Amino acid sequence: MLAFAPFFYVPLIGLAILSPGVQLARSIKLPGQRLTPAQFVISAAVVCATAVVAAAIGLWVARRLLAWRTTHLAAYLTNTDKG
Amino acid sequence: MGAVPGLRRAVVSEYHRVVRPPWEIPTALVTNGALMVAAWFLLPPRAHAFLFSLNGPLAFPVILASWMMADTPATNVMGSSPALALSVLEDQAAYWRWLAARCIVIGSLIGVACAAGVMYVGLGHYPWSEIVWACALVALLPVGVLPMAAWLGIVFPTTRAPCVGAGSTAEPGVATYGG
Repeated sequence: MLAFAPFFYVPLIGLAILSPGVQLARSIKLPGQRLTPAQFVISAAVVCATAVVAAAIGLWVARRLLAWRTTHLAAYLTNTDKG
Repeated sequence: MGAVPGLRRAVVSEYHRVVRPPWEIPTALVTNGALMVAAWFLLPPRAHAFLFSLNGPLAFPVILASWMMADTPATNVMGSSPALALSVLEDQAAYWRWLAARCIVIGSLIGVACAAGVMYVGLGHYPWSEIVWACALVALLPVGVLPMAAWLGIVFPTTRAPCVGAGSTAEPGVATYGG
């Protein structure tokens, strides 16, 4: 089951990062019209900023998770390494 | 394998690993990219609208970037290289460098491919400002996604079981979970 988790889990993270910019774009564009270049740039900048924040949070949480799972991971990886 | 060196050398080392057999990362990226392209162009409109919430030509490379990451190379950081993972377990800084190097390498591969897609779709049809920002977006999206995607592999690392006949009764190539 976990082997298939990335197919759902990773695009959902991508969508979550895109969401603020997409929602902003939908709220500022006129109905039935395309985004103007300025509106597109603002929305893209919001997505870029969200991605940078997500990267910082992701790395920080990954370090906390690693600290929490160190003992378990060491035992598991040692067994794996020995085959 | 020794401890992970500085970030720059860690990135170079990861690039070396990527371009050598078994080409796990390039294979997964290309396969997922091909599946997404097929789904984008071949699905009927209702299924397309259900699967892809964004529409429009510039949405294509952005969603492609997100889909290309959706596989175990992005999530299974610890299990993909047990020896290296063991070497960084006790050193948080080394682990951070290794994870960051992996994110940079995978992100750069996806970013370059999708930025090329943006250029192809956008040149001649969109203003330069939109093309440049769309390129920045597809380059930065993997950087945001990959560290979070790695959480799963830390909590539930997966490894390939050794082949039958090498002292194991497991089926060849079956993933095993450390949860």
